[in-house]
Amino acid sequence: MVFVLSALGLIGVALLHVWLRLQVVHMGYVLATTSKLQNQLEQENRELKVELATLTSPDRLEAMSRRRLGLRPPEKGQVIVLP
Amino acid sequence: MRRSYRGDRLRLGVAKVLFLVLFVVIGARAFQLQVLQGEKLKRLAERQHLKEWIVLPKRGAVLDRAGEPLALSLEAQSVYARPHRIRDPAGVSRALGKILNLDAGEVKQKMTAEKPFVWVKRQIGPQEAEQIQALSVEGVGMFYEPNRYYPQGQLAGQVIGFVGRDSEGLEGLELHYNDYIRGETGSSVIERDALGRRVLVQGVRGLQMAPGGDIHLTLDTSIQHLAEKELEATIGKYRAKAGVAIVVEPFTGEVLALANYPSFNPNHFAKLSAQQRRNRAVTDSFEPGSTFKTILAAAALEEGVVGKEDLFYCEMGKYPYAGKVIHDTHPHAWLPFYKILQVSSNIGITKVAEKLKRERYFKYIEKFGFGQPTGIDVPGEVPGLLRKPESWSAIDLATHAFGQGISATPIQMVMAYAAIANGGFLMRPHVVRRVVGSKGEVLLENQPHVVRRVISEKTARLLASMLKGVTNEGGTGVMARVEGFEVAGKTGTAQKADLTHGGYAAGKRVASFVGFVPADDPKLVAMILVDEPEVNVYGGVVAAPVFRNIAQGALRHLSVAPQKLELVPTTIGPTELPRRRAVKRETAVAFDGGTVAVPDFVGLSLREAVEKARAMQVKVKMHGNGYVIRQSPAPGGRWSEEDILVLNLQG
Repeated sequence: MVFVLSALGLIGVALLHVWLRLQVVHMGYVLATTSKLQNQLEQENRELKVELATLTSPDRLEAMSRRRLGLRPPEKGQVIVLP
Repeated sequence: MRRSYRGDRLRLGVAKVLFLVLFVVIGARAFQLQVLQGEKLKRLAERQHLKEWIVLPKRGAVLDRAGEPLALSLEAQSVYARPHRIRDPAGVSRALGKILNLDAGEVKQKMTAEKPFVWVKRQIGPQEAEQIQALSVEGVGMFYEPNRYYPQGQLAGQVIGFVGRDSEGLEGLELHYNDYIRGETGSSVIERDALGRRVLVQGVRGLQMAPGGDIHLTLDTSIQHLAEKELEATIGKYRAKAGVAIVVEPFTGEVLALANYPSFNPNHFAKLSAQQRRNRAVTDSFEPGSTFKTILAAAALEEGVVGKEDLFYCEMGKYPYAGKVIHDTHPHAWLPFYKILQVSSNIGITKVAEKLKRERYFKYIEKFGFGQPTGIDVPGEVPGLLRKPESWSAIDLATHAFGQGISATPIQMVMAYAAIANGGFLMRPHVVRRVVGSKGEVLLENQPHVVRRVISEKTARLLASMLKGVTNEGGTGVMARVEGFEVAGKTGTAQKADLTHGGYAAGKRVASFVGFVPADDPKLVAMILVDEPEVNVYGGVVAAPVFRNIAQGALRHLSVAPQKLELVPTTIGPTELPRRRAVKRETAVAFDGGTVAVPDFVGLSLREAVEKARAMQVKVKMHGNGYVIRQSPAPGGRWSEEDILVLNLQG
């Protein structure tokens, strides 16, 4: 009886170990995929940052605001100093 | 069916023996594999499924004082080939050449080279990378490499510098702060499966290397852009060779703008010459010319050898001195000391220098920081040229007095004037405020650093008031005046030393203006230097207007209110307001013995509210944009004139 129980226990432990190993490998795959996605998103984020910075560079903004919006530096009377 | 017990026993026994033998065989084999050959087999297996994974360093960003990025890193793919694995070099070369916009013949040469590995093209765009991926040819692959982008292009190019392909800073801040922003390279062993996919069994910790820190600059992108634009316009207008414009905060030594011409775009560093890469503000020294008279004046005032009103005879423009003749641009007879600075008389300043004597003068030249580097945190700074007074000939005292025979960098000049502006302290200039690590920890912080006290507060104030004369009527720097502000400064038109023949080069001048504004409460010090202008050579004509334009824009950007309101003419006078805003007239303020009924601002646009507040002389504080939706205190109530009316606006 004791022998059967301990044998079953041993088999149980062995199966648990195998299951855990499989889980580790499976998680490793998930982790690899997620980490790849994270890298991709970070890269994309950096690319967008570069694009944003390029689009908002003072040189471009000035040219756009002058041409598209017709803005210009304020004239003498257009600056009002509040008391 | 009847079976004998004995027969069963026999069969069981046979099975038992069979299984036992099997177990022993399996056990023995397992022992052989795991223990006897274990090490060797393990190594073989690891070679198959373990792979070294290189983690490339992530370089930190460079940001301006408002957090606007000036340099960022991206990973771009680079294409390589392993020539001996390519079966059809001609076809592959054609395909690659088409995608990468390269000459097919050149690509083929690489494909057939006797090398195990060749780069086809480095740092390609994402679309190109996709097409090559789709091509999927044996022997051609891609590899991620970090690449540096400078989204603002040439803005502050010489200050930022650039990074080489191997991710090492080669110039400017990229070089100076390389150790802080480079980031760490790491490698980690990862497992891969039969298809070569990564399986992160050990987790990701080994793959997470600390990225480099971010550099936060003191530079202000708007002021920097303004300085570069104005400098370039002037250099074009006067057909000059080069130029420098520096804007510094006088009390902290923070550099707000450092512009160089010719400009340099670090995105294309390889195509540009070393001439363009040079940050002239620190690497080049010039004979300063008349702007240096201020240094002599500071020394003379501090030592008490002259007073502001002391009279000097200016010899009607010609003064024989130590075997030479000193000339003035305009002849003058008797001039008080402050006028000598105002009209920039060489003869007058020489006579002041004679009273000061050379040892004492030299002491102050050194105290103001000339002849030694300022310690600014960019590479390549030179100390300028300063000769010891023992080696001065008789004429040298005079030439040093008006800034010839001595050389100084633009950054030295601007810091010397900053010392006058801030009440006598020589500050150490810096362009980096702090370096912040990836977890937000501050790795380095540049605090304002006082090098030494140069002159007393009293002398500095007195000198500032004298320098105001330069930009007032009758001075040489009238064109540097900024509307609404008093400007203290000095013009300079220096001769250039002829490096090949000795003496001075005919016709070659350096026009400059150094000054600070507002004169009595300086917010910024600026130095403008224009090298070899052709159309006109005078500092007061060439450099002073650049100062005016930069200072005007910078003060507006920093929201410094004009000090002299009467100097700001306005077209929207109080008398005009009722006509323009006739509808709102019923809201006029009624004075009632010191207290006032709160005027109604609700419903006005931002512009109308500003005009009304100005017309009524009401102190207001505004939040938001658009139309006034709420005001505090509410209209109609009583309040005293000292109270501030808070307006909330909404689009």
